[in-house]
Amino acid sequence: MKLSTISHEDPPLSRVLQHEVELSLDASMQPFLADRVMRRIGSLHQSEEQLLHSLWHAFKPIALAGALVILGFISYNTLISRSYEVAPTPTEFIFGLQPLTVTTAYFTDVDELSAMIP
Amino acid sequence: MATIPSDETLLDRAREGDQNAFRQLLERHQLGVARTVVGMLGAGADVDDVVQEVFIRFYTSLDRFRGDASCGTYLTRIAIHASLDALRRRKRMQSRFISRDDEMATFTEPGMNDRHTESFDQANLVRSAMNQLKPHHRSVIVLRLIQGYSTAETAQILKIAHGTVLSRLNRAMACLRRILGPILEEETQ
Repeated sequence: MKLSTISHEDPPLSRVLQHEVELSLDASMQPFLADRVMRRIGSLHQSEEQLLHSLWHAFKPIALAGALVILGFISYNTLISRSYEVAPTPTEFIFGLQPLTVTTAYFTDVDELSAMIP
Repeated sequence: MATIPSDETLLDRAREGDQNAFRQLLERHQLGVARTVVGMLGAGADVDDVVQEVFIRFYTSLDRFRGDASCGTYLTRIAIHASLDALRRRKRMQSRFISRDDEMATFTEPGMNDRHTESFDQANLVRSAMNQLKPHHRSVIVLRLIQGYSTAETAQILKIAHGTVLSRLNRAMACLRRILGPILEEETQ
């Protein structure tokens, strides 16, 4: 710090304040500051790693179960898609949707509806 | 003869994960940071914690430090902010645990009764004078009169206008001179 270029506006006041700070410094600071800070930085890294590790452990079964469920759905959808008359698009294939054409959209349900009307 | 690495070199190495480089920076600047924090807070048990916090904040913001100010200036800015946070914490604690009646019972105007006491404690008087200053006035006093930064540097560290530094300095110095009058007279003699 620039104690050599100290303010010349009030040298006695500066000296008194600096003297008080030097006295308080000895009373307030404990030894080996660098060691303590480096230890805290080390534990900072450790706690981050520990958090990631524990998160991975907590969510691993959920992730595995989710992956299995998704695989199950894809297999099921693949089996179902074989029975469709029209080839499904990739989106329809993945989500197990029945391929929809304009004809089926407009006319399929009309017959069913008319059958329901007494 | 081995050359002493500059702050910039050490910063680059610390950013790459060299903990030894960061340690060298810490050792180089710890006294300056400690002076700033002690100037702001006075002697106390929390000073050491705040100084540690300053270096932890510095470490976690290494990637954000663009180098538009010197390492010392940047650390001083963090130290001022950390000290202001600590002063807010102290104020919250005091308002929570000290009732108004207790405060009135224990409070004595610094520089009035003390002046007539035989066991006149100069350090306590200086500290109580500093405690009378508003935190933002105190930060200007610490940077200008204790750390010896110029007005322009103080304005840069506190991110305030040049004129604001001067007005805060004048007000704070007037307050300190009023309380510390006897000590200052002894100093000049």
